Amino acid sequence: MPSTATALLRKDFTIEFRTRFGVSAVVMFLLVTVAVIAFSTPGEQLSSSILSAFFWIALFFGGMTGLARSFIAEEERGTAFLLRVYAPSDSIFIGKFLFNLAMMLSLALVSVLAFLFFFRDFAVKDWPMFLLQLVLGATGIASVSTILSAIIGRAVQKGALLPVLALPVLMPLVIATTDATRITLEVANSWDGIRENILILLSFDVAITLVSYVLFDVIWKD
Amino acid sequence: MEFLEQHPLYVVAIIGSVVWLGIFFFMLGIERRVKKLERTKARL
Amino acid sequence: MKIIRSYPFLFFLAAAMTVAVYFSLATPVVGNFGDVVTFKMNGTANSIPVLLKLDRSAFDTLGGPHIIATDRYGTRQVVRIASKSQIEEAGVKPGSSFVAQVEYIPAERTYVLGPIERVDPVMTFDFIPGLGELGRNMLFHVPMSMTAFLAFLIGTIYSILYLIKKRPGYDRSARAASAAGLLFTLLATITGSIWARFSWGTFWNWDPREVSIFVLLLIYVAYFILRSLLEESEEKKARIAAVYNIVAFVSVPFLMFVIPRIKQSLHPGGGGGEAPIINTSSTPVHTDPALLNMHWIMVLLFVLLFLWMKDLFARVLAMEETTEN
Repeated sequence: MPSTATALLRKDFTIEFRTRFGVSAVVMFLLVTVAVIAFSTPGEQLSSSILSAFFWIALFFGGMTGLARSFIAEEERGTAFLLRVYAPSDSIFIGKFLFNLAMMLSLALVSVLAFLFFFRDFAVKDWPMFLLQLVLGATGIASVSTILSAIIGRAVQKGALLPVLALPVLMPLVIATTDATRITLEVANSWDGIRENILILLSFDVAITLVSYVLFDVIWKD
Repeated sequence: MEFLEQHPLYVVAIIGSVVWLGIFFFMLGIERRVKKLERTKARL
Repeated sequence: MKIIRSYPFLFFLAAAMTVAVYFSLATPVVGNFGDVVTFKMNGTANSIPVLLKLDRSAFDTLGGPHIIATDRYGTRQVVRIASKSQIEEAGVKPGSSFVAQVEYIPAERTYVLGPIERVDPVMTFDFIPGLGELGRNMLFHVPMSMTAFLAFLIGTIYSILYLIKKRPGYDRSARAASAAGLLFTLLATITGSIWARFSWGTFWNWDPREVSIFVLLLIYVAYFILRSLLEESEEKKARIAAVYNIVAFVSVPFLMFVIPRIKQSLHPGGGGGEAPIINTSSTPVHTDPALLNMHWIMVLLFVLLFLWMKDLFARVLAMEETTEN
């Protein structure tokens, strides 16, 4: 990994620990979502398909609120220009992608804990497979939002645009991962049921990350 | 007329052809106008 | 691309398309003797059109005029007719084929010839059980979806070319191809949805392919929204939109080919079955060769129509840019 990528990663983490803007916004979003779901379904038996849909809605939109900032913040602070001067674009992509991935994984961890705490029916039967599809889903969201937030750094109406652009692109991933989550909630030995979904997730992640890595340079340089 | 009343599928076929020809001639109209503009542009 | 613009070619396209639309809609959908019996027994229809070949002229025995006719699967049956003139007035000669309504009377175990609809038809489509006349939609809906995919593919190729060569023409072509693709996607959605109302009972029921085409529409609507919200120079706008187009196209094969084949679907080929939409093998559903050939003709014509549309849109965009400068 290039040293500039590590430096960028360290810088982003330092800012994040100092301000806690991204994390607190995302956790608030998540808690409000969970509270609304819990409030609107008091005492009801929630089926695993509904729970997995709620889970990924919370994760997707939570991610969008948090990750949209990765390049917008640079543009707003005026530091994007300095980044362009000092660092090669591929190490910027790697640094930002890893930061987004870390954000996404911590968001996933927090939402799993929140769902386990608040919903009795959210009882995962197959933990290894659940975690595997969770990590694959989070990777895809992190990778797509890295390239797309670089794109919308250039547009007006920045805040609302990321979900609009990202949701259709991420739809295959969301379909596969929602299905996989549902199956891991239902079946203890779920590999046979989710094999195809895992293959979709894996190939989608690899394809979209490679394409984003190659194209980032085009977006970033002036 | 009597023939068409007995064979409604021909009515559908005629309507389909008319819609298709409508699209075609609409696009042909645009084509002609664009060609004219392109010729004007080439002369300038 | 020059040939697409020339008037002789365009009139050839118009003529071919008119003929194709006519044959897609006016070619009779015919069953055989087995279908007549099945439909009568199920109470679906009293009589259905059958393609018959007249073996011998009418003869008067067995208490009434009869003909002997062969259906398209070679089954020979005695068919009762009203009178000899019914055949002769329609112009059916021995050895000629004709399409007529045929009814089955279970009590007498006889077939009765109804009105003769067509003599020596150019082409007939096989009766597909459960679809009947609705099977014609395969000539519009499926070619439109295929053209839409091709359009998005071509749009993405132009976007890649733009990023490599930086020629503004490629960007206009990419935009034009995506716009035409969006139009074809919309047409495929509308034809499919109207068809679904009569075949599955509802206009929309979130079948995996319906989800896919809905998301596909969203992707390319988002592409045009993004373009309108960029406030940069034309060159940068084009570059950023090209990147989104390429990134978005990564999910198109998943939406159109992978997910509909894995998930349980009302469309053919869903639920892990290996059968695609068009199936030429004998199991589970054999597509009628006449319908299949007509389908490929429609694909060709829609693709030509798309190429013209794309060319036209790109030139209009070029004119707009000239007037703006």
